[in-house]
Amino acid sequence: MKFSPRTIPSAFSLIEMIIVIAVGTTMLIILGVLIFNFNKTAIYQQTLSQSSGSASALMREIKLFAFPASAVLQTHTFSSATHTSTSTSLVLKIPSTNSSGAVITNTYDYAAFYVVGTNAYRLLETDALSTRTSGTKLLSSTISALAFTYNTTDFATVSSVTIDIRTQASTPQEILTDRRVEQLRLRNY
Amino acid sequence: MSKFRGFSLIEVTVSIFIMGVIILLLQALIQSGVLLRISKSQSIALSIVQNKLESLRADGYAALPPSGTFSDSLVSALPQAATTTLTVSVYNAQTKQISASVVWRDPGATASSTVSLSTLITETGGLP
Repeated sequence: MKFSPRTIPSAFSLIEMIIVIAVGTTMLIILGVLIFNFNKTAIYQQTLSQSSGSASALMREIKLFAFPASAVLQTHTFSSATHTSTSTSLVLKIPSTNSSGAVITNTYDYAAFYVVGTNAYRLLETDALSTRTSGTKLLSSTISALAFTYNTTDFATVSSVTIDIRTQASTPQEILTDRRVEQLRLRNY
Repeated sequence: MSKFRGFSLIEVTVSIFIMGVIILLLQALIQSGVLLRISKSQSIALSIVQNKLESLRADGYAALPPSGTFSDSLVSALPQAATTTLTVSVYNAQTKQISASVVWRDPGATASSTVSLSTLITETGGLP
């Protein structure tokens, strides 16, 4: 095949350039919107699972200790600090159990649940014979309110505690909240 | 070779593949959002029914209500039109079977979700 000099395309025409630029810009905009939305949705989902997950995790942990507890103590001196049962903190006295799950008589573990800022902690001090492990554990870092309500005002006769947990976490667009309310009865009261 | 030759099969295949992957990713992301909302609602519903069984157990056998609905402050935290059901049936002469359930439908979900717990409550024993 033989080309005459007139038919050889020397460069792109103006129309071609305009179309290429238009298509390129459109693709870039679409890609940008996609990446933005992926990012926004991922942050939203992460925050939602954080606020919702930590509310139920905190409730689960309180249940783990409130169910076997024998009493709510008005105050107890732990080795690190003294904790008091109030509307925002809870001190529990729990019969110690041995490795086979049996209760060790007259031996107790002590647990305190309290909030510092938006962090909820569980402090546990166990007897040497107990299978529970002492220590402080961070349970949630998205607490907006933690409230304890007791069935009587006299701590010696408290047999049930109502726990109201509110969590809050925010994304750049919105604030996500979650709430759990449960009344727990002490099984060993 | 013609100057206006169109797209080759390879080019078309590659572009359809890329578009397909992007659409699938977007769809998966939207679906995971729905799953996350369902799991949040499920956790709230579980809290509602556990609290109900706990209170029925504490009130004791004699105070068991008839079958019907029940209320809880957290029901409003579930999507609109969430319904609660309590079923009390006779298990034997001294035992009743209780079943508490919550049914709701999350926006974006294709079907309703249910959380249901059941227990036996006897004439003797129970919580303080």
